[in-house]
Amino acid sequence: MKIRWWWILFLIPVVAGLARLHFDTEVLDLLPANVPAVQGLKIYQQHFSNSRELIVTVKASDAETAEATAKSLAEKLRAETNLTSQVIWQPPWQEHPEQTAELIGYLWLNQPPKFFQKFADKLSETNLPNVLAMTRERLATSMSPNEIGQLSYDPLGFTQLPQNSAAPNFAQGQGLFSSADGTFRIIFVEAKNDLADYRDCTTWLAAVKNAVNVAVPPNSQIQIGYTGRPVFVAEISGGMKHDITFSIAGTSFIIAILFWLAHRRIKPMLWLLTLLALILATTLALGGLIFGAISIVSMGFAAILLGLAVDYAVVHYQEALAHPQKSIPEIRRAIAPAIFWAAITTISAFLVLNFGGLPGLAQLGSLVAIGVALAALVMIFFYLPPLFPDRMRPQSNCNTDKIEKIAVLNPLRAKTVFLITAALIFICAAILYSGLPKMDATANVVQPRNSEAYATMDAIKKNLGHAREPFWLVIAGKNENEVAKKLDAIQPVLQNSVSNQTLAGFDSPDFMWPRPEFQNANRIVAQKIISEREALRAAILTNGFAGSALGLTESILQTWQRASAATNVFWPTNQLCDWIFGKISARETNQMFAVAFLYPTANATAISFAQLELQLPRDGVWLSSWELLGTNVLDEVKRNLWKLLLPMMTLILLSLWFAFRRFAEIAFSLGILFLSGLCLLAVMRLSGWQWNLLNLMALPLILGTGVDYSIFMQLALRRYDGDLRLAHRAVGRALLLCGGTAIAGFGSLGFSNNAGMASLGKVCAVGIAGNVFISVFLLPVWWKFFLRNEKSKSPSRLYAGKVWKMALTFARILPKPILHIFAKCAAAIYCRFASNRREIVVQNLLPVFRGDRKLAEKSVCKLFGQFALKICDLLRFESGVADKNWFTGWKGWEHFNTAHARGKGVLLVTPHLGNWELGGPFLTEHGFKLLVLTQPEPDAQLTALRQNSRAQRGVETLVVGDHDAFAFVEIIKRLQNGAIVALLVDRPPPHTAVNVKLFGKDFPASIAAAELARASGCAILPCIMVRNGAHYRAEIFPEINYDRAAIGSREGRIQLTQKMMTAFEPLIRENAEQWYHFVPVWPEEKSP
Amino acid sequence: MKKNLMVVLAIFALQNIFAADANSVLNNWFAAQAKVKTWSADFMQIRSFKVLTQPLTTRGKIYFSEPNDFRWQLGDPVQTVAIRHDDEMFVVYPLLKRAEKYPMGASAPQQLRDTLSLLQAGMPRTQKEFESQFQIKSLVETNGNWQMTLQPKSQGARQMLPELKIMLATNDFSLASTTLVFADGSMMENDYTNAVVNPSLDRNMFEWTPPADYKVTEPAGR
Repeated sequence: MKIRWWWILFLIPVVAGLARLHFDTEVLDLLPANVPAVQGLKIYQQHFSNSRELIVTVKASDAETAEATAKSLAEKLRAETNLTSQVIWQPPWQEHPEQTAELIGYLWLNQPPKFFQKFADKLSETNLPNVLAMTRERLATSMSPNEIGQLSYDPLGFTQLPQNSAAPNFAQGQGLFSSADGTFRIIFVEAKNDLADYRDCTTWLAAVKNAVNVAVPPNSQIQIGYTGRPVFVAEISGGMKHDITFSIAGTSFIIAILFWLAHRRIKPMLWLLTLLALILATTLALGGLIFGAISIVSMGFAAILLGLAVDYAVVHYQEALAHPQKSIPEIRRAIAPAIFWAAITTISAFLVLNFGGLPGLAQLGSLVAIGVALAALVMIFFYLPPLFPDRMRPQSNCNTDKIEKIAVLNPLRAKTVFLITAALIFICAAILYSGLPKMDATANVVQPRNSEAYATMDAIKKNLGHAREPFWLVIAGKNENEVAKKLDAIQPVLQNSVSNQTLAGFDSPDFMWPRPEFQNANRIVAQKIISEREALRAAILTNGFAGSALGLTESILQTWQRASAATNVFWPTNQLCDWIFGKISARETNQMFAVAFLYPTANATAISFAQLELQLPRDGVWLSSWELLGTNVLDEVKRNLWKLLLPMMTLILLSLWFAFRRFAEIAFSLGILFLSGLCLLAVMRLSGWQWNLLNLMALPLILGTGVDYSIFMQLALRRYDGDLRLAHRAVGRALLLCGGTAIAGFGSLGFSNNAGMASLGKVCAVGIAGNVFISVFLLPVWWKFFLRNEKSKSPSRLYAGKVWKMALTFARILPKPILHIFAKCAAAIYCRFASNRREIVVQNLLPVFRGDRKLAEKSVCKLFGQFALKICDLLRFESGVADKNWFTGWKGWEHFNTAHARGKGVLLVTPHLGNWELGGPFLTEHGFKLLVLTQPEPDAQLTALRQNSRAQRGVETLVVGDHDAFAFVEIIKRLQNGAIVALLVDRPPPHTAVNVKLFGKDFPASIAAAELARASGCAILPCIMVRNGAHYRAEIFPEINYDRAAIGSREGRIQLTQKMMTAFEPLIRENAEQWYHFVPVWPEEKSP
Repeated sequence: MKKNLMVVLAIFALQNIFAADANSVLNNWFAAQAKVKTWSADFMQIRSFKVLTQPLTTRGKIYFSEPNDFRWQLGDPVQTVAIRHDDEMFVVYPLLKRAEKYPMGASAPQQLRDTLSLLQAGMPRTQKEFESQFQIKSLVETNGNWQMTLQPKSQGARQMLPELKIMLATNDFSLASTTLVFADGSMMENDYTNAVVNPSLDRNMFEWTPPADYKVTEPAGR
C-alpha cells in the first residue's frame, strides 16, 4: 500500500510535466542569449521576419519567360483567396504607383522644418508658374525615363525630397525582385491565416506548391524554389520528426537485434525496451516540468540516454547470467556500486554542460542527467526481479564461482595488447602531426542539411548579387524619438565604415523613420499648403498640364490633411507602406524597433565588425548576422570553456577516486580517455570532420562512457581477483553489447537532417567505439599486468619509515587532545575512502561476528578509530610525552611470576590485539628483560626505527626472517637460559603457519611458539594489552600446559597452537575493535 | 465558299507584295547604312505627354560613329547630353552639374539593353541584328518617305514601348525621322535635318570625364 502511494506521488510530477511539455523549433534558443548577435537575430526573426511570408523564386532561361512566369504565378496565387492574402511579384510602387503618394506625403512631414518651409515657399502662388515651367523644360530635355515618368505626374516636384540620396528610389525597386539579367525572379506570398505551428506551415505550403505546380508543371524548364519562415518551420519540424522517429526507433531496433543476438531471449529484451521507453517518457515529462519547452537539439538526449541506460541493464543482466548461483540481491550488491559510480560520473559530466553558456546544450545536459539518474535507479532495482523471480532469495550454494579462475596473464596476449596500445598512440600521433581537426565557427550546423529553404536562400543571394549575406543592425527604443536619436548616432558610424572599406554600403531606415518633433512643426505649414489647394490646382491646369497631372498632388494633400488631424505620431497605413515599413520597423506597445541592412565588403573580417560594434551605441543596438553568429557564439563558448572543463575534470576525478581509491586504476581510466580521444581526433582528421557547436557536446558523452566502461571493467576485475576470463564473461560481453548499441544508435544520428546532429552522431559513434575497444580488450591486460602484484594483501603504503618519523614529530609537538582529534578524523576519512582496506577488515571480522556483515561493517570504522588512538599513544610513548597514568595495571601477574620462577624461560604469546608494544617497556620497568621476536617491517627504515625505539626502553628485538634457522637456535638458547620472549601468533610468515580453527574457520596461526616450547621446554603464557576507555589494561592468562613428549610430533605442535588460539578466541571477540589486521587473515576459499 | 477563298488568296497576295517591298527597302536601307561610318544631323524633338495639353519641342544635334559611339545634345543652350563610348554611357545635365552613368554592352541589365536598342533603332548595323530586335508591322510610302512601323520583339521593351516608327527617304534611304510611342500613350518624335554622312568627327566628342563638381549617380546600379 505504501509503495502505491509513492507511485502516485511520483506520477504527479510526471503528469504535470507531460501537460506542460512543448517543443521549441527555434534554433536561436539553443544559443547563448547574452551574445548580442543572438539577441539581434532573435529580435530580427521575431519582429522583421514575416511569419506568414513565403518566398517563391522563379528561374528561367531568359528574362521574358521569368517575368511572364512570375506574373502568371502571382495571378494564380492571388486567385487562391482561401490561401493567400497578398502576393507581390514586382515593387509594389510599380504595381500601385498611386499608393506612393501617402509615403511621399509622410516623408515630407518628417523633413526638418526648414526644408519643409523652403518647399512650401516654392509652392507660393507667385512662384508656381516658374516651377511648372521648369518641369516642362525638364520633361522636354531629360533623357532619364525615370525622371520623365516622375515629373509627368508630379509637376510641382513633391517627389524631389531633400537628402535625395537616402530617399527610396522607386525606380530601382526592381532589384529586390529580379536578378540583373532578369532570369531570376522573386515572389512574396503571404498566407491568409496565421501559420501558428509546423502543421499549419506544412499544410499551407503543400497547398501553395500544388497551386504553383498547376501553373508551372514541375518538369518544365522553369525552376521554382521556396524559402521563408513557413518552409523553414516545415523543414526543421519535419527533420526533427524524422530524426526523433529514426533515432529512437532505429536505436531501439538495434538494441533489440543486438540483445537478441547476444542472449537469444525475448523476455529480457522486451522488458528492457519497455523500461527504456518508460525512462525516456518519464525523462521527457520531468524535462517538461522543469523547462516547459524542450528544444529540438535537446531532443538528441533521447539517443544519448538510450545508449547509456541500456548499459546499466545489460551489465546487470550479464552479471546475473555469469553467476547463476547468486541471488538477485547479491548480484545487485556486486554490480550496483559500479552502476552507481558510472551514473554519478555521467550525470556530473552532463550537468557541467550547464556552465558552457549554450542553453541548448545545457538543457540537453540536464535532460541526460535526469534520465541517467532515473535509468540507474530503474535498472538497478526493477530490471532483474521479473526476469529471475526464483532468485530473489539467497541460493544454497552461494559465494562459489563454478568457473575456474585464471590468475596468470598470458605473455603473448600481454605483448599483443601493449603492441596495439603503442601502435595506436604512434599512428594517431603521426596522423595528428599534420594538425588537429579544425573548428567550424559558422552557424551552418544549426541548419538542416539538403534544405530547399536554404538552397533557395543561397540562390537569392547569388542572383541578387549579394556576395555576402547582409548584416542586420537592430535598433530598439521605447518610442519613435528614442529610436530616431539612435539612428542619428549610428549614421556617421556606418558612413565611416563605408569609408574604411568594412561596408560596401548600407540601407538605413533613418530617412523613413518618423520624427515626431518635425511632424509637429510641419503640420502647421502643411495646413497652409492644404488651404492653397485650389490655387495649386489652377496653376497646374493653366500652365500646360492636363487634369491627369493632378493625381499625386491631390493624394499628398489628402495625406497631410489626415496627418494634421491626428495628434499622435503619424505613420502611413496603406498597403504599400505596410509592406515597406514591415521590412524596416516594428512597433509594440512599449517598444519600437528599426533595422538597417549593412552590406559588408568581401574583405571585411570579424575584427572589422568588432571595431564597428564598439563604435555603435551600447544600449538597444545589436549588430547581427548568421555569419557573425557563429564567430560570436564560438567566442562565448571559448570564454566559458574553463567553466566547463574545470568542474568536469574535477568531478570526473572525484568520481573516479570515490569509485577506485587507487591511483593506478584512476590512471587507467584516464588512459582510456586519452587513448580514445587520440583515436577520435585521428579519425576526425582523416575523415575531414570538423568540430562545431553541436558535436562539441559529444565530449561529455565520450568522457562519460569512457569513465563508465573503465569503472565497470576495473571493478569487475577486482571482484574476480584479476581473472580476465571471468571479468570478460561478466562485464566485457555486456560492454560490447552496450557499446554496439550506442555506436549503432549514434551512427543512425549520422543520417539526421540537421548537419550538427549528424556530426554529433558520427563523433559520438567513433568516440564510444574507441572507449569500448580499449575498455574491453586493452584495459584488462593493462590492469592485470601492472596491478597483479599490487594486491591489497600488502599493508598500506602509509605504514612506512618516513611516515612514522613524521608522525613521531607530530606526536611530540601536538597536544594530546588535538592529536587524538586529528588521528580520529584521519582514521574516519581513511575508513570512508579506502574501500578496499575497509572491505579487507570487514572480511577479517566477519567470522568474529558469526558472519553478521552489518555488525562487522559497524565495527570497522570503530576499529580504524581505535587503531588511530593506539598509534597516537605509541607515538607519544616513544617520543617521551606519554601520560604517567596511561596504564591501569596488570591482571594475572602471578601466572608470570610462577612461570618465570621455574627458570626455563617464558614465552609471552599475544595476537594483534590492543597495544601489545607497550607491554615490553612495562616489563623492563619491573626489572625483566624482554626479547621481542618480529618479522621485518614493510621497509627497512621502519624496521630499524622500531628496533631502536624498543632498544631505548631496554627491549631487545630479534628480527626473524624467512627460514632463519640460526635465529631460532639463538632464541631457544635464550629461553633455556630463562629469558622472556614475546611473540605475535596470529599473522605468521607462510613457513611457520599452520592451519588451526578460529571462530570455526580455518586460520593460519604461527607454530613458532609450539616449536620453541618443544625445543626449550619454556612456559607459554597468553597475554593481551587492550585499551579500556582512556587507559590500558594488561592481562596475563594461565600458562598453557603441554606434554613436551606429545609435541615432539608436528601434529602435537599443531594441537598446542590450536590450544593457544582457542584461548584467544573469547578475548578477540570481546575486543574485536582492537584486533588490528589490515591484510586478509583468512585463507582464500578454494574453488571446488 | 468561293468568296472566302478569294479573300484568302487576296490576303496571301498582299502579304507577298508587302514582303517583297519590305525586303527591298530593308536591303537598300542596310546597304546605305553599311556605307555610314560617321553621321551627324540636327533634329527637332517633339515630346507629347498625356499629362500635357501641348507637345514640347526642343532642338538638338546628334553625332554617330561606328560601331556604337554616339552623342545626343538636347536644348539650346545644351541642357542634356547623352554620350556613349564602348560599354559606358553618360547622360549629362550641364546646367544642373549632374550626370548619370549607365553600363552598356553585355553586362548591362536586360531592361537597359532593350531601351538602348530602341534608341538605336534608326541606325541599325546589320540586318540580322535588326531582325532579332524588331518585327515590321507595316511599311508604307508617304510624302517621299518610307514609313516603317516596328514592334520590339522583346517583351520587356514592348511593355515600355509598344511601337516605333522610322521614316526613311525613298531616294537615298537616309533617316528622316523616328517616332517612339510609349505604353502610356506618350510619344517622342525626332525629325532629322542637315544630315551629313561620314563627316570628320573629333573622337573626343564621344568621351566624357566627369568634372570634380559634378554629381554622378548610377541609376542602374544596385
